[in-house]
This record gives sequence, C-alpha cells and structure tokens, in this order.
Amino acid sequence: MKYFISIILTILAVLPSERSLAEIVIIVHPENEISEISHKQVVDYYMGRLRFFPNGQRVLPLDQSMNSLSRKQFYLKLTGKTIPQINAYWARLLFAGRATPPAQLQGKRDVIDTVSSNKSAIGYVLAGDLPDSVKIVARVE
Amino acid sequence: MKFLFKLSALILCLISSSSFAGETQVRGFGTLGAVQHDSDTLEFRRDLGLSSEKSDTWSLASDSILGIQVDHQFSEQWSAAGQLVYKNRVDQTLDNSLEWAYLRYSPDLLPITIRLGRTAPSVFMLSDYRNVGFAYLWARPPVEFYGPLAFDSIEGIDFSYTSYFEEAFFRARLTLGQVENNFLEKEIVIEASPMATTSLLWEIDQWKFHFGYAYLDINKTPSYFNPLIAQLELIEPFWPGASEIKDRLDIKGTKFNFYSAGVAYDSANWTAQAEINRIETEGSIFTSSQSAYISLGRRLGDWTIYSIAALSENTDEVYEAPIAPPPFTALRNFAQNDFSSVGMNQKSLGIGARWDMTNNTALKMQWDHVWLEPYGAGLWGTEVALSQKEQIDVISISLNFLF
Repeated sequence: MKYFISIILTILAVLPSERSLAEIVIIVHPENEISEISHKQVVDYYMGRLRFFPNGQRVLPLDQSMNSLSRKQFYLKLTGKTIPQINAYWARLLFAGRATPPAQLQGKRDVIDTVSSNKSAIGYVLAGDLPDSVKIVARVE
Repeated sequence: MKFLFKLSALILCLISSSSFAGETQVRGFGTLGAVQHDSDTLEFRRDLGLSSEKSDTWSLASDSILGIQVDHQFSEQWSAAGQLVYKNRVDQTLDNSLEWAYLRYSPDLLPITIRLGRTAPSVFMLSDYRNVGFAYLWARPPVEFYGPLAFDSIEGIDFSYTSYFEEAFFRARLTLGQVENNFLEKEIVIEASPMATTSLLWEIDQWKFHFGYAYLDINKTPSYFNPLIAQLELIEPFWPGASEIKDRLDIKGTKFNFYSAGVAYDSANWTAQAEINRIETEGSIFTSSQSAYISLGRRLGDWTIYSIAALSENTDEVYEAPIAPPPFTALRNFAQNDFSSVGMNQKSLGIGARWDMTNNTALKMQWDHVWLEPYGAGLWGTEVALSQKEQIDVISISLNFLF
C-alpha cells in the first residue's frame, strides 16, 4: 500500500501542474538586446502604442489565430478584455487608418518559427517545450 | 483637388499590380441594419449625408453599410491605404464611396505620421470610425451629435503626433484640406475650402479624454439655391426684403467653427461615454447649435445592456423672413420653408443591448424615443417643415461584422 501511494505521489510530482500549463510566456529572438520586459510594455506593444524596442528596433507583435485558446487567455490575462473587445479596439484604429493590428499567425509552431528568424518579432505562447532559438522575456500570469 | 483623388486612385492601382513588393492586406467591415419607426410624415436619417427612409415597415437602407479597406506597406516608413464604403448616400457615386485613399509616411525617429490624400475628418470621438458598427456600442453614432457634420472625407494633408509617457497615451492630429459632400438632396453639394480639423486625445488607464475643433469656409453656394436666388434678385427692386432672404441663401463665404469635448470610461463591467459640441455660424440659412449625448452600458458576459440620451438644439432662433407684399407671398413662404427646415431641435432616449455573438460579429437591438420641437426636424426627411411637437419611436436591429 505504501509502495503504491509513493508511486502515485511520484507520478503526481512529476506531472506538469495545471498552473504552468496555463502560463503564457513572451518570447523574442535570442539576439534581441532586451532580457526582460514589464507587463505594461507587453500591453503597449500589443495595443500598438509602442512601435519600437528600447534599442530603437521596430517591434513586430505576433498574434495566434483568432479563435485560439492561447489568444483568448493572453488578452484576458494581459488586459482583462475579451476577444470581441480587443477586436473592437483594433477596428477603431485599423478602419480609421491609424494603426494595424499584430500580424496573425496560426499557432505556437508558427510563432516560434517567426520569432526564431526575425529580430523584430515578439510573440506569446503557452509555456513549456521551447527551443533555444527563442528567448523568454516575460511571463503573463 | 481632383488631382489628389487621381493620385490616390493611381496609388491604389499600383498596389493592386504586382510590380510593387511589400505587403497588401484587404479587410472590411459591415452592418446589416433594419430600422422601423412610427412617424407618418417624417423620414428617418442616420446622418445628413444619407437618404431618408420612410419606415412604416422595416427598412434596411438607413443603417446598412459595407466597407472594404486595402492597406499596402511599401516599406517600414511608407504605406498607402484606401477605403470604399457603400452606404445609402444621397448621391451614390464611386468617387463619393471612396471615403479615403492616401499615401502615408511615418519616419523611424519621430513619433509623427503624415498622410497625403483623402482621409476622414476627425473632429469628434467617433468621427474616424462612425461607419464601423462593431467598433462602438450603439446601433449608430447618436444622430443628434453625429448627424449634422457628416462630411465623409477631407482631401489634403494630415499630421498626427503621438506620445507615450508613464501611464498616459497622447495623440494630436491636424488636418488641412477641402471637403465636398452631398447633403439632404442630390443637388445640395456643400463645398468648403479650406477646412481645418484638429483633435487631441488622452488615454489614461480606463479613461479617455478628447477635444476637437474644426473650421470651415463654404466656398460655393450650392446650385440647389440658384433658382430661388435668381427669383429673389428679380423682385428685389419691388421688395427690399427679398435681398435679406437672398443673402442668407447665398451661403458662399459662410464660416463655421466646431468645438467639442468628450470623455469615455471602459472597465471590465462598465462602459460610459459622453460628448458635447457647439457649432457656431452666422449670417446664413444655418444657425448655431449645440448637442450632447451620454451613455452608460453594463457588461454581462457576452452581452452589454446600455442606455443613451442625446439632444440637439439651436442656439439662435429659427430665422423669420420679412413678410412680403401679396404678389410675393408664395415665394417668401417657399423660402421660409427652407429656413424652417434647417433647425435641429430634438432629444432622444434610447435603450439597447449588444450581443457579441462571435469574435467578429455582434447583434444589437435598440429602441429610441425621440421628442421633436416645432421647426426642429432638421435631421429628418420632410417636405414641409414640422410646425408642431412630435414624438417618434425608432426601433433598430443590426448585425455588425468584421472580415
């Protein structure tokens, strides 16, 4: 019985926790000068308010696909807004000729590929299993 | 500035040809809107640039809009964009439907953007995106406020400056150019040059503060008034009063000043917005006026229920033409009808609900009760100026979408 319980506990300890599965990380190219950015800076890049990194390089924010869970979670944690609200925000800017929304990609794989090959890119993905070709600069709780 | 229009059209042609490298994006928005109201004599208008609709049954014409936008990025600094908007205009032409088409330059080191071509005149908070139903809460921008100054585009040059400091975002915009729009009837074309608009916007946390100012100088009397003016000129020697009426109809040289201020609040559960404006002008058929609206909405999951109150009133008395001696009475009354039709004196109270059906579509239902004062139906379509009070119920159901 004790043996059985310790096996269960070991398995539970080794399983990724619910929390880290839902955690979202912000990634950039490894050669991007920044090593850490604040929650506010993430909001500013994704809301089109800041167009440049501190070092003067243009920012290219990346979105995952419109109906994806990652996208929904990202904006909810970041701004407290739902996707329709975010879309309305961008409709106000885009259809007024003011700014364009983040580039829309498919999923985690595409975001990683783009970030790995573009020093301007910044993206969000679910934490876990990230290659060395990207660097984590923030975590969105 | 037909040249600017041709320049813009050329840019759009170049964008669509494959000889330019760079990225092209095509996006759009639309509203399918049905409106019904219970007035027998007045016809509903979303704004003065659109045709009015008698609506004893559901009418799709007033609120339905389709917009297509093409954006092309030539380089990091240069881009061009055009937007075609199909809606129930008084004069439906391709030129009128091309609401904007411009070349944009945005340098790397300065937070400014310069646009050359046709852009949307930005005076009030919703001015830039009043065609995009998905972008705001109500069935339509409040008619009392957004109905009168319904110039679709301004042709010229536009500057904007943004700055971002601590928690606050600031944007200033200045546009200089000329405008031309059909109002009320196909034959009434208001042309103004110059027109200057400027707006300031602060966004701090959940608050937005906005100030706008515009100036315009009408540079041509619409041909619509010419027959009446000619007749008045003929009878001037016999009746001096005719020259006073004639001067008011000859609107060339009339200047307008628009002032506005607005505030908005947006949180997870509440959304509120209010704006006031004042339009000052003198010496013509137009009168000075002021208008305002206030709205409060509460979010409940995918739904938002809201209420909006709006009003518009003249700050001058409606002009009374001098009484004419008997041979000229009919002509005088005909002219007076025009003066009496221009006044906009109304209040409305609306309640509605918006349902965010999907990430890109929303359904809205709104019920407005409108109170009109005598000679205050300037926003509505009518043959004869309304001479007594009236109350009207307007019901709208609209579907907004983005693509």
